[in-house]
Amino acid sequence: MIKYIGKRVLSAAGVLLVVSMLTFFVMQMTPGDTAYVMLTHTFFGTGDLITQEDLDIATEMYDLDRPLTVQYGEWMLGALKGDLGTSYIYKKPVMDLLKLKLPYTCILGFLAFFLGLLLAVPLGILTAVYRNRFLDQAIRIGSVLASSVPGFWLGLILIMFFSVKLKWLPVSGMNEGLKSIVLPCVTLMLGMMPVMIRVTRSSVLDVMGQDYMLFAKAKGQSLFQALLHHGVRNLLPPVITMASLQMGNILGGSVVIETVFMWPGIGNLLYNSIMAKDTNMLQGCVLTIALGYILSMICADILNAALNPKTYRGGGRMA
Amino acid sequence: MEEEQTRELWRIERLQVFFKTRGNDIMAVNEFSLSIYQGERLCLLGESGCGKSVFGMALLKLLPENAEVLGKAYYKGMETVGMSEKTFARLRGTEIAVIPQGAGSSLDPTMRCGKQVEECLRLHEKENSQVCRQKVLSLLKRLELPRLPGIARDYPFELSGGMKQRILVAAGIVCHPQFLLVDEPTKGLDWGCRDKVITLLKKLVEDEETSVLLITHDFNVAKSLADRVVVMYAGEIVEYGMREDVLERPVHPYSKGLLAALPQNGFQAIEGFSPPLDQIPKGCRFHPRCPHATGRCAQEHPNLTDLGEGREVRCFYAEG
Amino acid sequence: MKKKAISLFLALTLVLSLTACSNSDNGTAEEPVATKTETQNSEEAEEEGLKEIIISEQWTIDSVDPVSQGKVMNQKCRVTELLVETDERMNLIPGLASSWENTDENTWIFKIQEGIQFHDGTALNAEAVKWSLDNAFEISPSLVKRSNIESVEATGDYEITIKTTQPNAELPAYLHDASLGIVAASTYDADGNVTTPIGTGPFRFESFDEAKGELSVVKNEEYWGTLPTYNRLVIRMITDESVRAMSVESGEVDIAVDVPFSEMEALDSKDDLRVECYDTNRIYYGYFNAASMFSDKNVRQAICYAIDRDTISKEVLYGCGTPASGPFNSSIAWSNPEIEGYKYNPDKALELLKEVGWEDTDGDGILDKDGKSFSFDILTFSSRPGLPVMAQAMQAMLSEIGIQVEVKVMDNNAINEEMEKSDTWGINLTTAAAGLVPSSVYFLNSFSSANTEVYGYSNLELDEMLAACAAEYDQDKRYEMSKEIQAYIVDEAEEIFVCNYGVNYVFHENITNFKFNVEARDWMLNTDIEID
Repeated sequence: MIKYIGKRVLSAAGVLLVVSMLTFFVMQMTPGDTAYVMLTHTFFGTGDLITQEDLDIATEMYDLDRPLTVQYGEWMLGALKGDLGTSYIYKKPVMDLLKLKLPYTCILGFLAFFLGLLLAVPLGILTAVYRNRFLDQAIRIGSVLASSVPGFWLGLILIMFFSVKLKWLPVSGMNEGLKSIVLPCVTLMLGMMPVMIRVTRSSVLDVMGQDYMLFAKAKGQSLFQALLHHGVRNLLPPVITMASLQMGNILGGSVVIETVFMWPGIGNLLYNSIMAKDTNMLQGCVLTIALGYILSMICADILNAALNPKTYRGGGRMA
Repeated sequence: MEEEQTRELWRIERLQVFFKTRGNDIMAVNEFSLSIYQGERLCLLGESGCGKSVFGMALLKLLPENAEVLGKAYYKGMETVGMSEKTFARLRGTEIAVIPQGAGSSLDPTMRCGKQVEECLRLHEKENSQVCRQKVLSLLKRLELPRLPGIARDYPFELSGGMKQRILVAAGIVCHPQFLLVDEPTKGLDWGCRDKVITLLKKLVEDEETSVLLITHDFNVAKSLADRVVVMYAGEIVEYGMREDVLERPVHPYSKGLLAALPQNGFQAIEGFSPPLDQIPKGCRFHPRCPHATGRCAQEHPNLTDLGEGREVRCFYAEG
Repeated sequence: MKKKAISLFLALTLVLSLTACSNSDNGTAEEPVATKTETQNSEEAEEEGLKEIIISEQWTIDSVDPVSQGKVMNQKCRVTELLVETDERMNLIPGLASSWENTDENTWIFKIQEGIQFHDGTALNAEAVKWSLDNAFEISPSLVKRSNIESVEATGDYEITIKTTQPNAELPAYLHDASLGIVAASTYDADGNVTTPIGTGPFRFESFDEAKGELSVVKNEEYWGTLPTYNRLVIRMITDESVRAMSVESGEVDIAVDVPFSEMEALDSKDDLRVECYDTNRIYYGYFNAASMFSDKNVRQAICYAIDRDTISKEVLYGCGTPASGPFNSSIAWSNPEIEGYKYNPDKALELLKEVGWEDTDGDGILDKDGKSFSFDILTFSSRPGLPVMAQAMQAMLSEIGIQVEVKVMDNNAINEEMEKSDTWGINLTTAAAGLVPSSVYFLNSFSSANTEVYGYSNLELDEMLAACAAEYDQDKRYEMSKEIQAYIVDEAEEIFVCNYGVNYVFHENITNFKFNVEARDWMLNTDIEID
């Protein structure tokens, strides 16, 4: 176990390092002079006239003329000490900004994730049990529709209907407490549920076709008893693995959803930092999302290990 | 004994099983009529694919959804083919139990072996866990499983094939059923294990006075366990009678062929293959492979002929 | 044992993640920057029927720094005020400075209005102004460079003297810069971080929720000028333009700025909404690539004639932005009203092209000359939504006279690089705030050789005219010279002026008496707007 955790931590560190390097150098490769972009996002508007003089001053102010490797190296040294640098558009330490915004993303993300699972897994089981019947068909058509619609568009439709027409829920922002979280949460949920329903359904179908389920029935158990006693532990692993990937998708998807709904999470931060070429800020956001991804995958691994007796009973003891 | 035997546990009348497929319906079991008496051990013998397991599963109502069962089956006088799943579920485990084939796949890989045996008890006898556990342990002991009581806490992957088969046996008989379907108990086991399982099974059913329907393709298993033997070919009964009669003095050319194919009789396999169920030949189903086939065999489908002494054969030339 | 370890670990991670969330949650409650003063009061006031305006806009408010976020603090919030203000035609008028004069080319004396107080009660005097200006110059050195300011000195209780390194006839105009809002030193803490922006304006800073990017200001009851008609203004950032439109439609906000052009009509048809469009001082225009066929003036003028600006204004901008004849919106004091510009005339365009040898000789429908067909790229970007569609409209219009155009929409930041490496680009279609500085030459200077080098131009005659205009200290004369230059620029057609940049406001019916201010960079509200 200790060895496993150690290995996981090491590989996570490796992944984060590679991600940060990619982010940094890809960002440098995107078009546009950093000083120019920076100025259009601070003192000037987009398309405003910026003279070479202005550019020189900005370059000097933020030490942008040093070699990239030096810039990255210095950032890395700081990052190792827990200092992710300063965002130039917000003029604040990146760490503070993340602390400020991450909770909102977490609240929205976790809520959507767990509610989504809570709905999707039972629905997946139902569609499998009643496969090819009306319920199954209806849910499957519904999920195809939901998964073929882009998140932001779905968000707009929901706003149009529930906020503008019915006036039940606020259009955007988070000024009305619980009411505010409903639409972004539903939009995120609808994004992940189709996949989860599909995975659960096929996993349940797979388990239902197993001999031990037939044997359970022969012992006198009803289908639901059998699913409860023998199904759950066997059908969960693929569901958990997919769920951990969805957790990553939710973190990434929140960029779009948060922009539509003006949810004050890191999605907005990420969007702005890309637009403004705020490399430090972007690094912070990307690393946070990568870390979230890694953590959710580790959680999935641990859960799956806990469900599979082989992992903690060693290689088996033959008589 | 004589009186006991006359008490019918199952009366099966013209049982037919169809599988609905995209193209056409496939008949897997044709007009199967048979009685199973209390306390007897009946063996269903046939090559794989002849429909013997399908018949067993049909009796236990465990066939997949695309199967259609026609005819009647009376268990203690109750008709079961049309019986609701809910009512039948009450018979499962306690009255009618099964030892499924495939020890590897019939055990839940994520549940401790002891618990899988215990499950049936807990479901039907509503006794507290302490009592249940004791019962399970004593049963496992009777089955001569090693490392008791620790083995009950092991997972299936930690056991050998023979041990898993014995766990299955335990799970099947733990509630002392009246009727036990044993499906290919020796499939996939090595010779040593095979003998041991057969011996144990024999001892057990003798102790329990359970009626057993044994499904196997193995002549030796049939020989050592059965009171009566039914030989099946291509979804039909071709011959049945007492064990000694059928296994030592078979009448039907197919039964004869099976006997001749045994190693001790010189491996004289029947020519050809048994037909797939969607390509059943006209006339006698065995005629393409039968050395004695005549023109009549190719045209007409023979009925079972009563030879007396509870013996019937499906052949025009049964006397020969 | 191992199993226990796993469950322990699981429980731990769960607890950690939960506490992490709730912890930082608490953190935000305390942190949201700056003071959240008097929310209590304002809530009470709300019950009494507070006159509050909520406006939604697309721009992110990153901070409340009155220098880098001058546009927000000065124009939108009216927390800070400037030494020099402008009237509705962008003529300079006294602001916090009651008067100014130059004693020589490099020395300016500004008199500060007496009796004005900052929001924190301290008096506005020469020392305070000097501190504020110096602070702004330190934060944004380009302000100094642009205006040639050398030093600011308090030369009396209410008098400051500004020295420039080089003559700058329009120094007062440069002081009308939103970043130069006069703030009290108490705006910053000891480390130079903004705590509360303290200005002199009609509104006091109330709160800024950094996480949400929502800013609110309340009426300054002690304001030295006319008191505003409403008590509170909330600025809500809504990035997506459709969502912004829906926010005003649902009644959550009172005013939405910049809704999609295509939705203006539908919104206006609603009983409780009103859409108004105005021309800003910003302009849609394009630079020709002088290192191509556009080195020929005839060709440039031909393109100018071939573009139907009325159609673009009507069909592309849905009327939000009128056709432009020259670089300045006609409501600006120094714009030249006599410039007629290029009226749509495809025949004239063809004639001009024929004169210099562009004709369809091979009958393929495309003009050619010396075996080369007339084709080029229009480069533009999408963060100003009118641009890509405008480029496509121009493409269609030019194809009618046999010119093949490809539209390349790219990131704004990528255009400079594209111009350097591509030899097929012909027009760089962009927008600029022509009235960023209320100066008659500031924007025109962007057409001087120094600034059009990237497009391949060098026009010494224009450079001389610009230098002369910039050196003229008499405003009326300067405006006249500026008008001449404008006419010259339009005639030379090194740039093509397409349309004025329109802004639309969607008002809820309870908002009336809105007066548009042409100097607004994004939007501005007049303080006497009526709200029911």
